[in-house]
Amino acid sequence: MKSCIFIFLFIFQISQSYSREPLLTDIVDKDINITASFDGAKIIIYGTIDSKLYKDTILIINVLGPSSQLKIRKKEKHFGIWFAGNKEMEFFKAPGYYALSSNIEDLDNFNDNILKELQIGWENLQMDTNFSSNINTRDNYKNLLKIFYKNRGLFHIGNNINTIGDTLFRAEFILPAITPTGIYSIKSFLFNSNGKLISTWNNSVKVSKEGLAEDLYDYSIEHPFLYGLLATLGAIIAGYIGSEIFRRI
Amino acid sequence: MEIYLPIAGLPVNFFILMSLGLVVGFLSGMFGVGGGFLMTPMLMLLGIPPAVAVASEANHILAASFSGFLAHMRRLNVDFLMGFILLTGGIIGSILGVLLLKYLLIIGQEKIFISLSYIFILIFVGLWMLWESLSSLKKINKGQINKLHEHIWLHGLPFKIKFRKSHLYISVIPPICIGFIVGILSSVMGVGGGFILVPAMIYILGMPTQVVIGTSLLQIVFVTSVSTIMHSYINQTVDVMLSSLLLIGAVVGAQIGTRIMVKLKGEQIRFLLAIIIIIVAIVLVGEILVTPNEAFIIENIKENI
Repeated sequence: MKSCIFIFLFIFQISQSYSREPLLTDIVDKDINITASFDGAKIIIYGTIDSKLYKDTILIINVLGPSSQLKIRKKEKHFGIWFAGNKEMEFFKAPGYYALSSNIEDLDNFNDNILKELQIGWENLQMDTNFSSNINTRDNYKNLLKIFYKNRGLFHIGNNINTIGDTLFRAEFILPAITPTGIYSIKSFLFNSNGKLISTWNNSVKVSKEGLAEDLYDYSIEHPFLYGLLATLGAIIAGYIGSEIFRRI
Repeated sequence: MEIYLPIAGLPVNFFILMSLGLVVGFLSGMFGVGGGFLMTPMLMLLGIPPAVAVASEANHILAASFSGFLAHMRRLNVDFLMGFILLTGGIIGSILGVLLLKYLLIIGQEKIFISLSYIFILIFVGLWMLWESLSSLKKINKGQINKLHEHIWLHGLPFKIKFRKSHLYISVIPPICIGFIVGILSSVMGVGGGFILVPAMIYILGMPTQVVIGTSLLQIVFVTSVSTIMHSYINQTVDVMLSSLLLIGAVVGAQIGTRIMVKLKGEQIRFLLAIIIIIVAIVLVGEILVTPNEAFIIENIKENI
């Protein structure tokens, strides 16, 4: 229902102020709130392409979660047992969520240099490593991070941009419960059928977590000693209540 | 229904956690053990980070053992003097254990360390219980009775104290050392330590059986309190959402377990428990040998930059 009203308002808005922008996008919910009993949220993006000027356009939408500094460390096998090894790499600016969507089957036929320049695609994303000398090593670690994200639903690649008529399009990106909080940046790119960039548009979404779980987490970081004291006290009270209840049964 | 565990940082199915609490609570009620040594490996198998599993389980055990301690105190089955002497060692041990875990977290080896500790202790305890229960089952058939414990050289060490409740006059050094070892285990492995403390009090200290359980619970209550506070303060690994969910299932399970226990013989119970312990150990051995589907670790150094 909310989406319907939104589409309506959106179309109304662009028909009112027709600015001849080849690409316009907007987000349904710019403030996504994640609560404790939650099993996923969505970033829903709507937009228009000026179909009078451009036919057969290629649209790519890239969603990047808030960046953080990460260290990836390989495990090694010694005496048949897996230990954390010494080989590691640090990424100073790795997004905590990654999604890439387009309206074509795949980007294989695309000009590599353009994708590289625009940092479209996981391989082309700059993450600032601590030693960038060997590209193969860096790509190897980047791939591990991709596997890690994929296993947790933090990495999506697909061609799931739905076009409605010639001008309107809509795309959804699923956020899992563990998705990091912060500002998500959404970059939309419009190319013509030859792969030449026509226009770009940026949006951002704020993802925050609310509720008991988040309060507990914040408290455990801000007041670790008091948190421990209260956890202890809580357990003692729970034990006392348990013993009182079962003494009477 | 998914519940998000804030410190573990992952959603877990509510009913899985409840039934885990129920089953482990049932076993702990049935076998008279805290259940930490079963719960912590299970939580690790669920995907909860080992350091969080250990710390939250310490908090869970605190609630369960406090409830048991009150029951024993009402029946005056607690040797407070012995309890406090065990504690002096226990508190030092548990603080050292938390610091050891902190160091392991820094070098990234906490998972393998906790797994290996569990494998060694579970196999040792499991085989010992198996052997002991089988031999006492044989003895019953032959009609023999176990001989009571005698004084050993450890009791003659300096700093002797009279323990009225336990009818003992022994050195304080052995109980402090026992408390210390159990304290470290409690912090590093997320166990109460009853499965080591109880036999040690009976066979090494020679305490009368009726005060052993209550006194060991006194030690467990204090040591797990210290572990909970220290784990929170130093490692921020106590997930109260997790520990309180486990508690609900565990309290109910323990009551059912206690009622079923009455119908079984002691040796049969120990034999069953030994089998369960060995199965858990075998699963953990498999875990560390099998090639992980993620042969790497990701550490978050700084968020939102």
